Amino acid sequence: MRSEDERVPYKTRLEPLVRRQLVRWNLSEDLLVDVHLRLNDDLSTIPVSILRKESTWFGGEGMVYGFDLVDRNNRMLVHAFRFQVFYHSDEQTLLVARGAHVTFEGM
Amino acid sequence: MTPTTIREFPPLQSAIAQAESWTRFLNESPLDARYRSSEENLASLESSILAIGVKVGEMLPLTWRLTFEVLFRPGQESWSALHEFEAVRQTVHRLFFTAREALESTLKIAESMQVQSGRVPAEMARLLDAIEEARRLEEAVFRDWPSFEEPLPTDHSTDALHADESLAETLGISVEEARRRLEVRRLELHAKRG
Repeated sequence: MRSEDERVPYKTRLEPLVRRQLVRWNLSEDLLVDVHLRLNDDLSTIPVSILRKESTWFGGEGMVYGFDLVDRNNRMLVHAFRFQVFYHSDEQTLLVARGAHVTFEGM
Repeated sequence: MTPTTIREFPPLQSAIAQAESWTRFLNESPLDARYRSSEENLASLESSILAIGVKVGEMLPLTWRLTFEVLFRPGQESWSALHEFEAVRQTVHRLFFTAREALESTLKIAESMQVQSGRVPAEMARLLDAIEEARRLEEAVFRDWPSFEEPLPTDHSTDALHADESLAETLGISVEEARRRLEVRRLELHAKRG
């Protein structure tokens, strides 16, 4: 029996729509590296508690995963990212379908 | 606070309610005789109406700032169901919509005052600034925040790439170079965390 804090490893893959969005958002290279790192390293290990709690994983609409990054070139600028993620039928892959990017300057 | 409860986030809800009630009041022709005891207090009434209208607009960036601080909780990863996240987006959208409506209604009153009195109301410039700031802020907030309820391409797993391949494609570099950059950054972050 897994504990609620334990994380389950998956592979992460990004679909064409979200990749086009990443280009359109005009992020710096530093931010693009950080975003891909978060999607590769953090998203891919889902807490067991999330898998158990959220029935919508399997209902076709996926889940929304989010994180925030402080801009390394402007510490007052915060970038918030949210991604719609689907659980692939191979049960080993998380598909990142699309995203949202909201910023706030002056925090 | 979870994204579900932000829908009932009091500062957001009260800002929406205030803007809605202000618009309702303005739509009831507040310059009519029933709201003033004499011609003399018309100037005072005008001034109060514009001042409140301007405040509704000037509160908008502050309410948005607080909403961002609570909603996006800097430093934490988050998971939410799609309908919860969409509810947040819709509520924030309503915040901007109702504020703009209140500002536009105030502007109409201000313009009508100008016609009646033959002079530009004192707070007109601030009101126009607030309208422009609200428009600019709304555009910035929603520019890269699409609805997640729009249909996706049917077979959305086709052509999906791993993160290193996606980074390579986005930056126009080789996959090996993308892997190297990811690894350098990973080590930097590990070193920072000790």
